[in-house]
Amino acid sequence: MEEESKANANAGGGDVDEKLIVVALGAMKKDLNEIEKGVDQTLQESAVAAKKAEEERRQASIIGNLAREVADKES
Amino acid sequence: MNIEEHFFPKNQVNEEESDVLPEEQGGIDDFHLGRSPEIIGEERKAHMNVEDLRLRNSLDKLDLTLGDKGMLERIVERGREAFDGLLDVPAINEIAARFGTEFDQRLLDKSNERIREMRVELSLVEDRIKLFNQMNEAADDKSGMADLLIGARNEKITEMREKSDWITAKIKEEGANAKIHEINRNKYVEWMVKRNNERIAPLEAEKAKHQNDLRKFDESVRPLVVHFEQLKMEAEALDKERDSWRENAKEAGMKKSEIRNVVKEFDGKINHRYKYLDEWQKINLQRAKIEQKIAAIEVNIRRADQSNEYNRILENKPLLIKDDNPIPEDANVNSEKIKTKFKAGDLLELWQEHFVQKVDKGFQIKEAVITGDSGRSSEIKLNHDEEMSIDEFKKRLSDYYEKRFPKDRNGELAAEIRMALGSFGRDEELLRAQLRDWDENERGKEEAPKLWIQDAIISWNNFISKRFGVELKNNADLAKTVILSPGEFVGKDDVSQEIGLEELQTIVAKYYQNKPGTENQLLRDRLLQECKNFSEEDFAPRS
Repeated sequence: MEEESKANANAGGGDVDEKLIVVALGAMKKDLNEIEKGVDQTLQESAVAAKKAEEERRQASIIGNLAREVADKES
Repeated sequence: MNIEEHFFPKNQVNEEESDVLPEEQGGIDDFHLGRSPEIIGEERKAHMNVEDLRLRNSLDKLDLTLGDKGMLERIVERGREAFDGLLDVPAINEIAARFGTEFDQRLLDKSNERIREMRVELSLVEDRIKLFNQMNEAADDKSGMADLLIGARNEKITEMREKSDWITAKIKEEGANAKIHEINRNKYVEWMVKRNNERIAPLEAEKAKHQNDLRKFDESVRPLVVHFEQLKMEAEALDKERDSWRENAKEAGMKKSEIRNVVKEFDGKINHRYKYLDEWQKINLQRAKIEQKIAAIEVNIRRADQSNEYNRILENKPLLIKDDNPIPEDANVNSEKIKTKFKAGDLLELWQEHFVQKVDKGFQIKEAVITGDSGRSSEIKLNHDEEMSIDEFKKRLSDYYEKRFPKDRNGELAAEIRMALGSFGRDEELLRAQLRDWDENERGKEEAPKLWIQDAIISWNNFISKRFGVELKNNADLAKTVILSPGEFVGKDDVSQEIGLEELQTIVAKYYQNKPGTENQLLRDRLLQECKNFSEEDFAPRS
């Protein structure tokens, strides 16, 4: 893509520093891809943590019932 | 170490029976050997989910059957310490913490319930005592039957007072139990809070890092925005220029083929500018998408974060009667005993304050508070300069009060003192802060103004003359008693001595207690009261 952009820039001419634009677009895309990769990883981890917490909430009622029964026997 | 090894080392548990599922043991291929993914999928649907199975396995291992003696009951028999050991056993610790929380919460609820019931009973008993007292007071006829009735009621009142004392003691006892359950419950909740934080904190850190990366990206892009705007303006200008040129060319009768060639050239310039603008647009969209994903991370973190639930559990407090922290001295719940040594004199000062705050005002506090001279409290054989831990100090006090107020004769006061002792100095930070304040006050006292003893006596005489006013003028004997002669106080060695306000108050109060003429209790009380009224303002050489 970068090569193509450069070719276009050369062919088109104009007032804007098109070489700068081409390089900047490439760099921006690279940076964003890097950030997105990390974000995706964290998103996945957070989804796992959220699921685990919800499981624990559900299990808490089962364990809670048992604990209360044992406590009733104890007291 | 697994749970069986932890509690019952002789009974080795087969690893295959552990709470780890076959898939998780790395044996998924063997487990599903020869079966297609579809069949495996069906089997998975037919089963409970993995977490359910894990939980069921764990609970089976705990053997929470309530009929026969299950493993948990055996653990409970082995003591709290043994149960707490479960928190160190991976795979079971989360269940143990949750179990412990709910177990102690239940006991706390039950204690609170019992306290509520006893409070109702106590209030009924108190009402009856009040009623019987009112009936006795209202009885005018003191002869015959009325006298008998009063006697009977008094007997009942005594009986009910004993009952009231008994209920009060029981409420306090239950309050102490509730506090112990609360402490134990909090221990498990705090474990879960810690685990929760360990889970949430890295995610929060990651999220912050991504937000920061995005911010940096925005900063790096900001100078380029102007270029893209310029590119857009150029594209739009070229677009207009092309259309205008085409119109003019047509009107001028230019050949179509020539017009087409020029327009094509214009289009080339316009299109490649729009191509960059499209790329720029795509980058903006990608950025927006990343922002949405970060928002989704935030939502997941909130779902994963259970701290609010734990805080709600912690808000459930035990019901108390009077003392905020009715921990009996012998309750073995204080995990971190204060080992730091303090000056006995400082601790005694703080204890006096604590005592006055905590013990029921109905008691003769003056009688119960330890008095002593500045260097030594002989009643408890306490050297004020001696350094001791708070526990040693409390033990010394406890022995002293037990002798001074035996339980059989001073039941309620003894219980009050015991409770106050239990809560004294449990928070080392607080104790240090109190000592700091006290030190500052002491320093303040040291810096307080002092007067030559002769001037101090004169300042007192001025004050007391004003207070008695005409009474003194009309009564020479009274004036002789009340007005002090500096000569009585200033000996050869005292001439150069300076004293402060408090010292003067002490000297004067002692002097009046023994001075002839102050036998009249009313006069003595008044003079002693005036000693207290004597303030810094009055403590001046001449007025």
